Amino acid sequence: MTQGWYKPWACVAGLLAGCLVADASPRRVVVIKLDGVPADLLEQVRQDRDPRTGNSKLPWIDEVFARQGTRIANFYVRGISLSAPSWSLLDTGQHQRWVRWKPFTLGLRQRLFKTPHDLFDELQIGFDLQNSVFEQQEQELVEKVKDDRVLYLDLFCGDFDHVAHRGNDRIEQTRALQGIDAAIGRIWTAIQGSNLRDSTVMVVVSDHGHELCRGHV
Amino acid sequence: MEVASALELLARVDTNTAGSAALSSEDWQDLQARLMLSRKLFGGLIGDSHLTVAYEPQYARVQERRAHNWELLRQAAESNGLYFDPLNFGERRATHVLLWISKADLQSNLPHRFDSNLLAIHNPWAEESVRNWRGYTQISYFDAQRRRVPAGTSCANPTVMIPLAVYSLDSDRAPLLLADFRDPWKPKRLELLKRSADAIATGVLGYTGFGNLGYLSARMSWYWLRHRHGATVDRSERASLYAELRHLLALDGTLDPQLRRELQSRLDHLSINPFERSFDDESELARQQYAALLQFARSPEGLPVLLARERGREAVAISDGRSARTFLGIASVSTLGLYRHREPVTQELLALLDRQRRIDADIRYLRRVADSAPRIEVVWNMDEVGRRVEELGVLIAERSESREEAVGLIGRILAQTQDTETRRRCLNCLARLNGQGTPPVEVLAGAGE
Repeated sequence: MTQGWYKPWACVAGLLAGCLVADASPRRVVVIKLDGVPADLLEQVRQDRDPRTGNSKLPWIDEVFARQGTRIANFYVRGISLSAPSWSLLDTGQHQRWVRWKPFTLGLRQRLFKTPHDLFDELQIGFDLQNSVFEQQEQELVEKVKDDRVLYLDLFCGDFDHVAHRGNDRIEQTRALQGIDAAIGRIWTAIQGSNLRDSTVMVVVSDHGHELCRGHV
Repeated sequence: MEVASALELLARVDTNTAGSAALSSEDWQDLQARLMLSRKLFGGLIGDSHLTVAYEPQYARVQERRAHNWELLRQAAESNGLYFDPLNFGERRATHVLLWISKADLQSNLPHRFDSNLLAIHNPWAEESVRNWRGYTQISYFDAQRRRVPAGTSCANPTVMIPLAVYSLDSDRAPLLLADFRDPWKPKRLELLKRSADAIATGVLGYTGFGNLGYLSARMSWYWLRHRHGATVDRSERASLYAELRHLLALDGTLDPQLRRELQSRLDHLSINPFERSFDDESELARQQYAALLQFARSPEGLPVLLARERGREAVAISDGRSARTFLGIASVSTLGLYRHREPVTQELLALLDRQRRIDADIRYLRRVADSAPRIEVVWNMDEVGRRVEELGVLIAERSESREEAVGLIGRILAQTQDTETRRRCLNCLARLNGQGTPPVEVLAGAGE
């Protein structure tokens, strides 16, 4: 079972995509903020090969950051843990002041307004509303990437942190990382299709790690 | 219960080993999803495209429940001075926990507080029977910080441990007591009490939920409160958890044989149903059924006849048109299933069936590929994708019902890859399917050609 406690020191690991390696003047920044993803686990799973495809188990992180970009580990260390509430402080210098309900309502609408066949299937399986907000925010980000006037975009994902708190199941953790990897792929592809593709920096950053017991439950 | 056992077995199959290579990991997952859905009323009607969605939340829910129960039980055990020992039966994921008490701690006569709320067992610190324990014991080794260490570790202190109880981590809100080593009849007594209360209320006093609203509301409130406090109120769930442990014990070779026998005998005490068989009887029955199954498979009147019948039914989908199939379906329903149309099985029909199955497998694979990523060469092995595209192009005849779907899928693959070789294969395949030497214009437009 997971010991699930934050390390006494905050581990912040960053991945920087290098579509602007050749461009010295980036105009736009896209930041993907991950909650609780340990850098060492991410690297291990990236190096694992998927037996079905022969590629990395995290193919987009492998392609975008390991092959085309760069990675920085522990670039920021401090005595206390950073976590979700600290993100707004890092971004704006202020604590979170208000809640934006739009992604919630739109995500809910997207989940519920479906074809009768899909609705019937989901009724049997059970509606999964957990990811609806993240999916909606990702969709909004992908839309905004097309707009050249928007120069800062960010997306927060807490999926891995939930999984790591829930238990120390490596299969589940890998699956959560693969979900994040797929989202990175969609966002990266959207950036590549935008006008600012040559002057966009994409950054993936994690706020802290987890004490994950290897070989335990 | 059989479905639960099958799911537990399938969850333990390593899909990467050679023995399980007959099915891909996706097939294993689909199999598990189908079994899970078979427990739902309309689960059989769910389409293939939702199988992955059906499997993953269920898997996550099971893991979450186990983690929650693990933490509750670990904290309760530690605060009561007991030792928490996960039973993973040789596998990575623990589903049960055995609580122990140390004989040295008992003899130290230090005061211990005991809270039985979650553990549902009597205070072991206050019982003479535990101090004078004559049942099963085990030697465990601890270091100076009282951490368990393997035998042979330097400075390890051997300690005699007395087993107290076994819990399941798969119950809904709190760990469920399955075996109490001091009171083997306790779980059974609790079950009998619950059933007797129900029987007296409905059979003797004549209170039923439909006939007496006061009784119904009192009963529902009681169950709701018990559930909120962590009790497993669903009888079938409890039965399933007992059966699961019996099953795991039967298959396990890692536990100390004496401990396994002790546990099995305690679980045998739980059989409330007079028709329920002992573990030995069930093993014997399973062996007999397996032998009968083998005989059925070898007999020319057995499995081959069944397979021919099923293939005859399957072939209706490819040999008859939509209106004919509708008519045959109506005929089957109106005769209450007495008439079911089957095509006579011939070599030509078997070849057609084989082709259709390969088409379905290719379409399923390519749909998974197209749905997975906006640029598929980053994620997938493009040799395999190209091979499947070519195979699909060869297999699909011009009049095949799957032609339209295949064209759409190959068009999507073409649009989502920049791999030159795969694009060439897609274009060749589309040209072949179009029958005019060139791919359909609308597909090319969608793929940016």
